[in-house]
Amino acid sequence: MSCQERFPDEMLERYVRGELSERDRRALEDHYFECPACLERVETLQAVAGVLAPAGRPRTARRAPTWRTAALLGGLAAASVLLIVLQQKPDGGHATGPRPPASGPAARPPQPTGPTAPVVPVVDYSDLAAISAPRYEPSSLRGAGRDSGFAAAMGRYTAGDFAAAAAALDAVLRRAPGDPQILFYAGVSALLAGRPDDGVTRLEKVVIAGDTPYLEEARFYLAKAHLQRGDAATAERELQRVIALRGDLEAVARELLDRVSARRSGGRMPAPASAPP
Amino acid sequence: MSLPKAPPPPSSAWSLTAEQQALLAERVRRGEAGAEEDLVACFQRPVLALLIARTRDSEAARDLTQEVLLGTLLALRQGRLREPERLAAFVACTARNLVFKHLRSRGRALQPLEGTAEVPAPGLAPDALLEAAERRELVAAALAELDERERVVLELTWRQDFSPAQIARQLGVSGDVVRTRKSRALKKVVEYVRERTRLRPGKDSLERRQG
Repeated sequence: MSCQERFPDEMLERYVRGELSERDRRALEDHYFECPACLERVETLQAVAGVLAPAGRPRTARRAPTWRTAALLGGLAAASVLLIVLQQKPDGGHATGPRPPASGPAARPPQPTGPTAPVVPVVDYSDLAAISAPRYEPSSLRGAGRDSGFAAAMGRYTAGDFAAAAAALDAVLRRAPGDPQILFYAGVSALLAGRPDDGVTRLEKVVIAGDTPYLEEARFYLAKAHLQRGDAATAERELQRVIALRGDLEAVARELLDRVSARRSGGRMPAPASAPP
Repeated sequence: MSLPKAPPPPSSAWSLTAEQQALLAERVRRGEAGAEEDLVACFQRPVLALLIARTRDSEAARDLTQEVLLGTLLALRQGRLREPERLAAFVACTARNLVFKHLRSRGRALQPLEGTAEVPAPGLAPDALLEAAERRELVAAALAELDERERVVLELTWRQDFSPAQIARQLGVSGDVVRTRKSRALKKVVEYVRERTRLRPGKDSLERRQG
């Protein structure tokens, strides 16, 4: 077996990113201590990481709280928070609306049916996937707020009509496709409207836009979206990235990560005192 | 690219054989001239790579590299290495132990490895640091020469921490296409760097001395 087969590029990449198990890390290290070719591969990947993610990037910098994150956290703590849990309709569509956190099977992936289908244990993340709508304050908005279509869309959003808001924001996006603010609210609206796939696509574009004021929340809601889809592993990675940003959502993300991890490993964490975000 | 292009290294990668490791350990134990320099030249790069990977802190890794090599030399001088033919594994293990100690002692002054406080530290070959800087420069140049589609995949991977599935969604291609582009891009970068450097860690001097 060649080095490339035993230690493929993806494994080296995960090593450089600190994502390998301790056992795999040791195996790779013991190997490249005796194999200059693989040492070169590791060193080059480390250099790629250094060039593309230079020191001082926002992930390690604590940013000052923004009005929106403060509003979000305030909204999360409020007793009147609107919890939206997606629920599968019998016909496969989605229904939306306020529901108790534990009642919605939104995150449950399709289960095999029929007399011969194997029984696969499915972990329910629907309570952890529940989200509230981040508060929107038009007076603080710039740029996109000047677009009358955006204002109308956000009117729908504020009224709780997230399906209409998502459609209207998508229309605005056609005029301003890269605007992180519109993308963020379009993504969140899609999530709240029961379309996590659309939400993921839009929120990922916010992340691609880089260090915008929406980066941290976009990552957080991405984690929620992945939980809604039942993809806890990806949700955990997103939450780790939120924590790495060391911003306003660090504590909330850490608590959610602990609960997701406990759920994945079969344990149950006690419900937090406040409502889950 | 302003850097001169050096002759490429041999096509087949060498490995540090068990015999070479045992002989090097024995030379250090006997105090043979040049043996310690050979050990440093052989292992400072893998040690540095391991420490960077585990501490995620280049500055700390550079400091710890010297500590690891010092601990290794001391163990060899005192004949404490039980399996000299596994010298490389011993150095790696020493590095990991120091990392654990370092991570536990974050925020406090790191205590030196046992018995190393009074021992003069080995000098790191300046080439290693120059090579690291040069490698970074070469990587930047290599990235600039990549096909746009390949570079985007690397940027989304490393700048945005996206998984292949996330990148696939954004680019409208399959996950396999993303993985292929990424793998191809990395190979190009590695090859670009390899063709422009003379990176044969300690092997030349080791072969001169040990045959």
